[in-house]
Amino acid sequence: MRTVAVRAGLLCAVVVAAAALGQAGDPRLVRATGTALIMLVLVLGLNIFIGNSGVFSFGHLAFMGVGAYVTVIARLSEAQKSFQLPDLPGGLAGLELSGPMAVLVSGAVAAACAAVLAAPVVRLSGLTASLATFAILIAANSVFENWETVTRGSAGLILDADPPGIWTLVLWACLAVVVAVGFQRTRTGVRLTASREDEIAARAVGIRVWAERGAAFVLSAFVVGAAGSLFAQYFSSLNPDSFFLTLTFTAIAILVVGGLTTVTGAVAGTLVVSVALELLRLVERGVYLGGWKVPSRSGLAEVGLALVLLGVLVVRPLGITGGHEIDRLLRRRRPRPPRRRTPAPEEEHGHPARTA
Amino acid sequence: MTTAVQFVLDALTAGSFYALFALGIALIFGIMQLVNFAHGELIMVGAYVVYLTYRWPWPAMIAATVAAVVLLALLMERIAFRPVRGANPATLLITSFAVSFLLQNLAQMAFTTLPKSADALPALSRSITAGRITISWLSVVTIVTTAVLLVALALFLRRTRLGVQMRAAAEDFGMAQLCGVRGNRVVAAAFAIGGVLAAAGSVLLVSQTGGISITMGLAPVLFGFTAAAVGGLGSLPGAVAGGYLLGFGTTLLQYALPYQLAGYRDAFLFLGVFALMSLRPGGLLRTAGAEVRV
Repeated sequence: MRTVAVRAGLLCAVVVAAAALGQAGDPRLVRATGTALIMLVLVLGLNIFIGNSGVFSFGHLAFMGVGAYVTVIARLSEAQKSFQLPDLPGGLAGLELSGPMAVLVSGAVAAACAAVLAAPVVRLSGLTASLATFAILIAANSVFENWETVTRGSAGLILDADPPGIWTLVLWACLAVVVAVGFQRTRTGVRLTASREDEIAARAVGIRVWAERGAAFVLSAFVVGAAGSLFAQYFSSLNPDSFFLTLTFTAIAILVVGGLTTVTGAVAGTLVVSVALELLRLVERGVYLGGWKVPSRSGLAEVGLALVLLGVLVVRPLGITGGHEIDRLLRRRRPRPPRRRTPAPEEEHGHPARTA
Repeated sequence: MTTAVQFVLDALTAGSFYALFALGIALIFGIMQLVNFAHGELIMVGAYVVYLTYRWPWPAMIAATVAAVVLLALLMERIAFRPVRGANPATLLITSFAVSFLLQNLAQMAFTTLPKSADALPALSRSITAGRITISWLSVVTIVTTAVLLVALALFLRRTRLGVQMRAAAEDFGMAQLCGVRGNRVVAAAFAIGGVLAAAGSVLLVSQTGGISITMGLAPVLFGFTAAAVGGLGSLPGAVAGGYLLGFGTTLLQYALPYQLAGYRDAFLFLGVFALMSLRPGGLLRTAGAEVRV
């Protein structure tokens, strides 16, 4: 319990500090901060399933899409609904939820979708799981594109409600940090970690790997769905491509760069990648470097991100945090206790068989 | 009757494309457990080479495309995939994502996001009409090219020294190395062959659609991967069979789905893939269990 409090407290402090810095800047920087906070919620959601179970899911952005569409449908004013979505099934047309309520409802709907898919997904591991979940992403994208009565297809939807402020997003992000850190230390979280390290050994000691994975899958879909809701509310517009390959790639890159298995990795990865992307975007618009004009090129930021990811994969496969949580990382700074000269007692006696 | 013949021809054409894409993916997967998502980007880059060279005489255009794509495939292997070789398949998949994303955005920097068009091999757009059946030359060329490449690859794998080594490496990479197979050379050769297959795919694809865009690699890699997965990832005959099966499947959906549902074709298709992966993780045609033995 104490570990959870310390770890979550430290990470939330980092998030608040980073957001306060970003919020003080110009409007572009404020917007980048908002984006980073939503990315953080998304990445934490992914971390709950991928980080703890070790099973790669490329399909979670489908749940983010579900969350986002649910939010738009729940928050759109009736007048806008009759204009953008005239054929909406009955009952939904009159729906108007508050912002926080929409986040929770979106999460719940996404979690419900995940619960339906969980039974087959949890049986898979390794590559098959990656590919099956990738198939979910594509199928979901095709549904978003074509189910025009609800999603307006590739034209996308525009939300007319006021976007949430930075501090609202900070609150949600901190909540997600607490959920992710807390989940790691629950029974389910610990068992899942065991199955990540060695699935067969975990089964052998009686862990029902599928059940634990299922629970993590549904919880992570809830958080990812909530991230989708925040996305829709913050950017006020979405289309099926918002939740497809580019965002999947960015989220996975953040997860890998930060360190897959830890919540600290998710926070650090989001921070580092967001700052790097923002700097690259500056260059992308064209800057002067020592009198030399760097021409503006769109795509540069993404090229940089891909190179960073490749570099981390090759040089530091455990991510920049090296697989440690923030409390451990801070503790490692302290000087180590001096090594004992005398060997430990059990070594002193040695093996009876060998001395005989 | 005429519908049936037309259907078979359409299915064979689609199937040839898929088999071509699937082979490139299955070949690499068999040797190093890498689902090469960047294979689609090889096709994309090939298409841009076709765009740059389509005014040349056609043999020169094809030679330039093949050379450029093979070179890129080799570079990709040397720079990105060799350092992570032997990592777990999910890491390899992410690496290939990164390569694919990198190439796509480099292409965006070079050519912008605006789609280009090229009238490659205009002679193939004519068609033969026999009774009520129309066959475009392009279909014929696609089917024949694929068949020729398949046979050539099969001969290469069975008859040549490098081919046999490649099969040995696919069976057990470590063991093959112990027996004197040079790992780097075999993997590089596999990437080079993948490059040839991708180049063939890009020339045929550009001739068929005429359009070139930076995202055009996605559909081939998705369908190719699906076909390879259906056939049992890593099995080459499986990939080819899966390609033709997928060709028949998609053409059937196209013919049979009512108008309102036609847009959902890919949703049905990929839900099918999802179900297949969950029920038979080893693929449809592979019978040997892919489960870990303890």
